Amino acid sequence: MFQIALYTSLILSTAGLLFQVYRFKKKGSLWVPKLKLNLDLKPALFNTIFQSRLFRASKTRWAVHFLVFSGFIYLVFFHALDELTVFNLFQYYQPTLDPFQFLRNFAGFLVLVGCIGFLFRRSFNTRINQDNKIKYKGIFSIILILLVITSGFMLETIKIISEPAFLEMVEDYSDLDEETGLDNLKIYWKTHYQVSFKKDLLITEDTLERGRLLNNDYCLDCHSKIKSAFVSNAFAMHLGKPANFLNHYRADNWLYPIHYLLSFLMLVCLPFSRFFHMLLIPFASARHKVTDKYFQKKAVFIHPATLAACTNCGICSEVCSVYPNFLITRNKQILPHSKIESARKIIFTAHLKPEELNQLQLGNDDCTMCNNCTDICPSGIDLQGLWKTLPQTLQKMGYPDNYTFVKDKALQEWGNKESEKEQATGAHELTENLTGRVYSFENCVQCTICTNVCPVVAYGGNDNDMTPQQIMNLLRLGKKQTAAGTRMVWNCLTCYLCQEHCPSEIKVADIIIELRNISNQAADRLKIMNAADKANKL
Amino acid sequence: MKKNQHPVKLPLLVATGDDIVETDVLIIGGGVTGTGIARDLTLRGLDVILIETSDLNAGASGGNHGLLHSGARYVCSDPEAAVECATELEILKKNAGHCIEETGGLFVAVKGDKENYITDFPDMCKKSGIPSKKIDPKEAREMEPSLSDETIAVYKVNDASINPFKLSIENINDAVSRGSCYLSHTRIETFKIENKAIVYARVRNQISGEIYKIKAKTYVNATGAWAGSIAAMAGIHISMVFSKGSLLVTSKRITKRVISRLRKPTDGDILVPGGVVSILGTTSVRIKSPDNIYPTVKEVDYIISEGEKLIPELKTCRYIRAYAGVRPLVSMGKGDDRDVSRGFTLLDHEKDQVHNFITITGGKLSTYRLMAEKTSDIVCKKHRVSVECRTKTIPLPSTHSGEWSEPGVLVNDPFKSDALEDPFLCECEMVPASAINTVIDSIKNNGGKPDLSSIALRTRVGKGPCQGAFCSIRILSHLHDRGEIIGQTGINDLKYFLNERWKGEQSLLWGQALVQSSLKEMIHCGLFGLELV
Amino acid sequence: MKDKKYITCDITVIGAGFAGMVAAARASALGLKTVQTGNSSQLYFASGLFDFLGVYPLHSRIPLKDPRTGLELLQKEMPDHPYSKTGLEAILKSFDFLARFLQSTGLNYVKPDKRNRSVLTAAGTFKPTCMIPETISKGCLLKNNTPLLLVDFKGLKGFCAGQMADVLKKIHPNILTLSVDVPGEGGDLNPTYFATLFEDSSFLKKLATQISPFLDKVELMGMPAVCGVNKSLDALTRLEKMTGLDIFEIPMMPPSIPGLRLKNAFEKKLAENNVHFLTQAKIKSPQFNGSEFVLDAVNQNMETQIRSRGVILATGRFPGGGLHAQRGYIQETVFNLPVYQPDKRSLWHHINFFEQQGHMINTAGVETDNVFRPVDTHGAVVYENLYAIGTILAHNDWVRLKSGSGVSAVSAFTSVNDFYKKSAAGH
Repeated sequence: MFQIALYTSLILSTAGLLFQVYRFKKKGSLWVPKLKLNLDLKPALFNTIFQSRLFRASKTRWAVHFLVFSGFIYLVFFHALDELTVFNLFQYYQPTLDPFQFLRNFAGFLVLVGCIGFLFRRSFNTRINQDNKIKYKGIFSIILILLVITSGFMLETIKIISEPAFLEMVEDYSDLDEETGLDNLKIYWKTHYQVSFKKDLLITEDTLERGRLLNNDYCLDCHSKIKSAFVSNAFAMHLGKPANFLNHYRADNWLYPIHYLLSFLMLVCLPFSRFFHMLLIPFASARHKVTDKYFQKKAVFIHPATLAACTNCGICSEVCSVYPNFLITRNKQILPHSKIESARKIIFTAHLKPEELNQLQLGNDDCTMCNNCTDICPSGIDLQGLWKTLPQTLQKMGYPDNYTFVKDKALQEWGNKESEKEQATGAHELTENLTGRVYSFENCVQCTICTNVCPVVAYGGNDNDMTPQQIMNLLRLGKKQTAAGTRMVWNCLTCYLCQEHCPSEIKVADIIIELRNISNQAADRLKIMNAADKANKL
Repeated sequence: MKKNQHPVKLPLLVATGDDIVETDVLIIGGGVTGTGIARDLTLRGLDVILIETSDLNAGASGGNHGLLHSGARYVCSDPEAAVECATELEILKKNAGHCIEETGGLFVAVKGDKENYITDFPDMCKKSGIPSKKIDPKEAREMEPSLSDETIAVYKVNDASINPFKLSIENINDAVSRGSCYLSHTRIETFKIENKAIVYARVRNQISGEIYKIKAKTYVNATGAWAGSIAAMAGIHISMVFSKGSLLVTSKRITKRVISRLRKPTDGDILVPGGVVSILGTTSVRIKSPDNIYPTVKEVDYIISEGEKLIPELKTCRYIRAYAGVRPLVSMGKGDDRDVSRGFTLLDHEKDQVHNFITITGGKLSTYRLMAEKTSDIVCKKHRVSVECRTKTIPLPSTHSGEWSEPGVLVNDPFKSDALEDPFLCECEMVPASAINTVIDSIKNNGGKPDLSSIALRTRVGKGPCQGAFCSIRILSHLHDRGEIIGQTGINDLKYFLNERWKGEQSLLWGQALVQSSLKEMIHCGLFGLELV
Repeated sequence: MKDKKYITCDITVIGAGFAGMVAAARASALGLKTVQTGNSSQLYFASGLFDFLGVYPLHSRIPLKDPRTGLELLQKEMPDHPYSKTGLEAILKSFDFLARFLQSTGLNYVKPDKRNRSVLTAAGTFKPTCMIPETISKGCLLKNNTPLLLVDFKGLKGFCAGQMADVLKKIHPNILTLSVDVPGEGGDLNPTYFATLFEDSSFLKKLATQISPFLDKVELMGMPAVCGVNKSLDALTRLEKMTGLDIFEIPMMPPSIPGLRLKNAFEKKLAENNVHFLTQAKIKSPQFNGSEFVLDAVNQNMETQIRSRGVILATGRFPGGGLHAQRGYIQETVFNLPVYQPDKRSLWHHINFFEQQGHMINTAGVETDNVFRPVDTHGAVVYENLYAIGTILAHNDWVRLKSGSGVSAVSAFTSVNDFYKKSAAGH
């Protein structure tokens, strides 16, 4: 059964890996014009073994992660694969011998503590935890590890207390029976090895001594002191009455398959869960960053496999320069950890709502390309490269940035759609904003000074349409939406020369900025509307 | 000589020495009625010449609210007129929709208004078959937030606003496209009368000074307030009463709907939205002559003081200009001019011993089509033409040259890529050079001479806040560039145009409007020294 | 949150129009610690021509050949006119000061002559004026038979050579016109940007090539006043050298480039003279504590409290915001000074825009004593050290009299001198 399970899971896992590689290749061809591996091994190795990038990003988190990492590595190599490793190294190897017994417990303990740390982090009020969807990502893998480790400890515990196991061992490795002092050995094991016997045994110094001698003869070669299995031993000591019950049902026999099945499950899940990062991070951190040179060549962009390396650690968002924007707009897609998640969805599962896509475009638009996120990313993902390529992808999907959207084709469209609405109402709405209040622009005396001082008008060339003063006139004529759609509104440098020069003290620049906001909203609306139209047509 | 089918050539033919032009009907007066008759008659197959002493809508047709009455205003004073209004409104909505904005209207009573008028109003409406619906004042203030908080009763009616300039332009364009002829700046000098009929009319081109004769079978006097003086040329006396009404234009549109005071019609009680502005009026002042009228400071202040009771914002808002029109009323007795019938007067002067002369005057914008129909009926009877009136059924076409009289055309016509090559000559109302060119061509096509005033009549030029301060000189330059004006007339044109604008400004110059007008004076007097020319 | 700053100074000039600039120039030249507030873009409305007295009496409707003859009559007939308070000498001195001041910034003006100069405007009319920029001066060489080339630029709205030629034809038949297609510029040309092109030699060369076919036919060339912003005379001279023609500029409607040159010149020199300029600041609730004025100057992002011994009110009329017209009466906006004005609004304006006597509202304004200190209705000085200068002064229809710059300059000059004299005596 063990063999079957092992091979099945190995096959499944390999198939999964192959599938992922295929998927990366396929999606990669959509995403990356030309797939080139471009690996740089030295930093990758360093980052893989010591998690050097994580160390740089956060000492605490590195420490916690390293607990799990080191423990897990130990357990994989010296516990799960003991027959291949330690067994060959040390002839006398026995899992129940120190230091292996102790180290196994210790490693399990480290993983246990680390995983609890992982879970605990999710209760902190950090930037990443503001996005609930992402907050609980990877929790499956953590719980799975926890289950494997606890099942391991439980198995060990039960083996410790197990009377049947004790008797089987006695039978296999000694010729002891009732007469030859089995009870003495029992007494010794009860006292020193925590075995739980059904029958009450009379413990005296004499019997204990005899037991010790027997133990020296038969057991000591393979069994170190149980205290070194400090976790399991502690469990065993406090188990109390249920011990007999567990012994009766041979809990050790059915816990064993649970333990290895859980472990095999980990193996199967490797390509589809957080475990995958173990393979992907080395890959991601080996990849060269996207530089402007690549951009010009349009050669290599972001490799999808590197996106998959993201562990949702959220450190990128902790250092994001435009986090204040998020505080204002509450658009989660400003934060890198949310953006990369959305990008992953676009590539791998392809389904984002129009609103989400639009939010993503807006959020990515806020990015200042400060490189903080890329610099710190523990997985070594070229985040900035992603932010640079994302607009092109989004544009292809019908979500260009608003400037392009307004400028290129939408104007005509929304000139009609929006103006219909305008004509229906006609009168200016009595709102408190500048563009809504006739008093804020009606004082224009048509002197064109604003236009004459405007650098955009002077040097904008053919890329400009209306002048600042014409914008004021459009507003007076009740054409707010039309005004909002003009290029002037988007080309404005907000240098405030117009406002500073206006002899009528009109807040020209403030009005233009307000119009740009209106335009922004209208563009968002239209993009989503267009997407809906397209969907309806399909 | 038979009238040439190409109207442009007509003045040329005249200039060659052939000084008589023949036609079926000569219409005198280029207001909504005159242009309406011209279209009606051409639709019935008659050949028409329309002459106008200045240009389209120079009289009351250009000096009114631009209001299409639902009839509710007249339910008390003139139920017959009320019914006429209601029927005409439906016809016009159907056939000339492009000149009309179906705003709807509210009749609003405020604290202190007479109770019995308010309570009788719905019954009166019902009697005349005019739809009206009572609305809760609170709800009304949600519909029109600028209404006074002292509103006590509101009725919703079907009022609409109409652009009388576009209406006349489209009517005459349609008539011209069917072969009739429009002669602007052409004045009647004398009628030659023989055997109880007019043989011909001697006319004079006001600009070139040419004098020639127009011979028609029938002559229609549609000169509105000037009907009396034209009739007098034919030796007929019509007793006319002139009532001046002044109106104010606000710089923004204050309400979505037409707002009327729910009381016996009197001064300053209607606010009509017209595109992006609102028009507040009016007064009723008896005057001696319909010439040279303009609103006075006193009238302006009075209208505002009445209007602000209905809409408090009117007290503080910026006004762009004021203008006045003359209601031509045929005297029937004494009393308030508003008590004189607002119905029209149609006189077949056969009874005055001039067989081929008809006068149509009085009436109102709302019923212009009906007036044209009734007049045309008489003309057709005289001509033994038995075609039915077709203006009821055939829609008025919309032409390119007419659309620039509408405010904010730009919106319907999203930015052109060649906008850069097409500068705005009038910045306030955003009229580009191409639009001015269209209008120039249309004026020339109608045999007129493009100048600042005629362009302003057909577009929004000069109607914005700058009131011609900047656009005038730009458009003048443009006209010179195109070679439309040669010689010194340009400066005189400019002065005339600025002065005409001024008449509408001078009564309401305070606050920002005064700043604007000071700037205008600085440019045109301070720098250009036009007052010295 | 607005920061609040505190400044103490000798004199505060409220207003940054022409009069305010002259006052600040004079005050700083005299070594007074000067603060100035206001919006200097009002100077975009200035033609750049300094009028003295162009027409008097108004009903004559004839430009004065010699402003002195008009002045004598005006002083006799209009004792309340600002000129009647100063006399000819002060006027000439103030012009002289102004010319020297501007000279020092590199803006050259032709000094006043005994006769008014008539300057050709964009409408084809002539404006009588006194002191003019050198770039415009050659237009005064215009004689009946000088062959003249008028140049306009496609896209520069409101300036048409053909129109001017048409208007001038009667008195000046020998005019050729040229409409220049500006290379590389399509559509609307905005004067300020366009003017900067003239400071570029390659542009001037291209222009000269376009003019070259006319060179043997004309001697004089007129063009819109857009020939350079900061180095106008230099640009004009270079173009003259390239073409061999005498060239002059023709002032056009606002925004005016000669006005912009003035603005730049004043701003540059006043900054050098350490005039503290609070741009766009408005004076709120001014107070006088017996010895000095306490003024809160507020603009969009700053609040400054100025303590100043003297105040010069140069806020202008309605466009400048110095006077504000309510529906029925006119107010002075900063100190709420009494305003001389017609009894009722119906008297403000005449029904004829071009009425020869002008509109009565243009004579409204602040009345002052002989050194331009505002007086109340009883003729008593309102504040010892408060002066009102420029167009805000009553009894001066500057637009019609063509006396704007002269009155502004002389009132600024006289008032600052008076304050200086008094404070020098005080110390």
